[in-house]
Amino acid sequence: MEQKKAKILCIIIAIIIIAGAIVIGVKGFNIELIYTNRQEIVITNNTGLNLNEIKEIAESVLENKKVKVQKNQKFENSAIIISKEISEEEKENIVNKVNEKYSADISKDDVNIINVANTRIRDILKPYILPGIITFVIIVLYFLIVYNKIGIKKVLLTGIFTPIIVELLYYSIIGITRIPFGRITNSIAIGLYIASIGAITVLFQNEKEKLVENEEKEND
Amino acid sequence: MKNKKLKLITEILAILIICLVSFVGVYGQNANKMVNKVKGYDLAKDLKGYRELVFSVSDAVEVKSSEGDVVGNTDTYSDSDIESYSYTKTENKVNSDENLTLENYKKCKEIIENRLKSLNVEDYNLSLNTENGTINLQIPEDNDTDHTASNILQVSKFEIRDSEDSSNVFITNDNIKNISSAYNTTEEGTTVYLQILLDKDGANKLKELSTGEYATKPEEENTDTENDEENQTEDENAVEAEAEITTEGEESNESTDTENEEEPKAEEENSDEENADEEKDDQKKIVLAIDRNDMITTSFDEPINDGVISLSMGQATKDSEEISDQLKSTSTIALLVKSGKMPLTYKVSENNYVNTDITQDTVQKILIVIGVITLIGLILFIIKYKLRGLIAAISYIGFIALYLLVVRYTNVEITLEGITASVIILIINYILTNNLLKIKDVNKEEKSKIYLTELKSWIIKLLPIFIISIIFVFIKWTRITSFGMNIFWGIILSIIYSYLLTRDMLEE
Repeated sequence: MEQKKAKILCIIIAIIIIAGAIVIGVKGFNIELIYTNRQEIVITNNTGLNLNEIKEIAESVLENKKVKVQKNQKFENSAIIISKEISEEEKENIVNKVNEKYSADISKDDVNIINVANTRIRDILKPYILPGIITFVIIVLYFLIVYNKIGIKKVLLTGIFTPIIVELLYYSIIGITRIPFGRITNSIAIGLYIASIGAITVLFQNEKEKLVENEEKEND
Repeated sequence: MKNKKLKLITEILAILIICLVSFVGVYGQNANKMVNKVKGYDLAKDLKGYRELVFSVSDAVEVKSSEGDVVGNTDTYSDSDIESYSYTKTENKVNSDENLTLENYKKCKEIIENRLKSLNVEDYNLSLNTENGTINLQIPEDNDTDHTASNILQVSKFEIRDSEDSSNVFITNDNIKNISSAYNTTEEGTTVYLQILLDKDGANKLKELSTGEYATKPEEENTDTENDEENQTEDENAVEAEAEITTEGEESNESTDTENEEEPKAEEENSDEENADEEKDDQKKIVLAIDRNDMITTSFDEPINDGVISLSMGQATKDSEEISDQLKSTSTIALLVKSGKMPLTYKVSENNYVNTDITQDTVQKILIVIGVITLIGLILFIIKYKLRGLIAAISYIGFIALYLLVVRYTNVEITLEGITASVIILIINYILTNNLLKIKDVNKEEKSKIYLTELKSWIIKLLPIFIISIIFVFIKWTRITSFGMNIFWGIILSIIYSYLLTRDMLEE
């Protein structure tokens, strides 16, 4: 019965991973705005700005586009509007609406559209790869040394494939559900890696303790 | 029995104090304001804000002095500056059209990345627009941000050339084997040096120069200034001089042999005299320059056979701040030259401080979710284990409070990865507390033994994660380091806390 359940679970995981690979292959990840090709404008008003109000204005002008508004500089008078694309006309509209809202006199010529290039996925993931590989190799070796009693083949298969499958499954779900790929998803990925190592260790340790217990019983 | 109760109450009170200090703070008056004396969280780039720099490929043209020397470009000199200095604009672009290639854009990005690593910038986001070479950089905002921003784009073109004929270049970046900063302390104070080690080819060229027509002619030995004296006294095989470093925008000064900075007039006079002398004599000299800064103009008193050049970067001083500044600027020059010559000249077109988009509201929402889940877990303890469950819940809250204090006082930088690590620590400690709660209905001695066995088993089970955390701590990337530090301190605290407090409280 348990074997059947495990088989079904494996099939489900395999389907999700394959589906994820197809979605990512065809559409790619839904990358977080901060890592994509984007355009930015900086709006500065000496009498002050309210970020929520600026966000409302930006969203009304840049309809159906991802928009992010962040405070620029350390004061409350400057905001940076980030979107995938901002045309000259849209920039002008935003400036006009801000002028209207704050009775300001911001010139559209003083507001430049800044083009920012995307960060490649491999550049985003690069800092995680080296520590990931180093720790993975060391931990697999640790498992082989400490838990070889429960079977080298089992230790190798479980030790190597569990963290890999967990990560593949996680990123497949991210790909399928179109959750933005970025800072939060990557921090959770590293947490899952640690959690999978922890789970494997508990599993191996319990099995080892059982084995020792059985051996002791047999000796008695 | 009474003693046990008293002990338990004391432990609960201690936990209460820790909770108050950690969650509420300790307030004291500071300039008519109540200020929390408990250390705050050290937030990283993603949670605080960052500097966003946009580097564009320069379209400037070279600017020449009235003598015909290239002194800079139109990025560094405005039209009014050019007019007031009687300079002239040329047709020569600083970046020729044939150099504007994808390969060069990529090389520039690579060099900038190497420089960031050398400057110990541990959390950056770098992207390249492959069509026009524009580079976008996001770096954490701290005391070194301006230093990084102002140095990262230096072309770092190193050359040793003839002082009269700038096209006659003998040694370039390609000949440098190593370049580093060093210092020497004598009775007079500490002198900071820029040490340049040339490769075989460079060393041979330098030997040729120092023994050939650039060797100091005998009659000049007594009339030459300080540089030659330094050469004689300090290091026979090294060229040493007072290096006067000017920024790219400043007018470069080929004569760097004068020393007294407090008397500019005297310096000018000396300089004029030297220029007059130079015109008279036929002593050939070399110039060692980085970008357009002539670090030294000199001839060679002794042959240099080992290919090592040591440039003193200022006068010997006993002022530790000055030494530190000199070392910092020398190290920066060394690492810039070491990272290679930028094939293109870039300019900073945007320089903004951007507040994080992960606002306090977002962080608060995350904390509320974590808090609610924790609360549900603790209520489950109470429902399942009644009074022991309540004691365990109090102990668990105490652990969270103490963990948050440890994170603050061990200077752990908080990143999103660090928050994930904290959640893992909370889960680990919850499972550990739950396992300790399961131990009951045995006599006191046996109970104590079982508690210890359980803790030992946990240490073994946590060992791989602990090993990973130690490796992460030594990785030079803020996000990974933060994750490692949080796990490292969390595991240590969890084991010690469970052994000393949770176990003790539950035993009672």
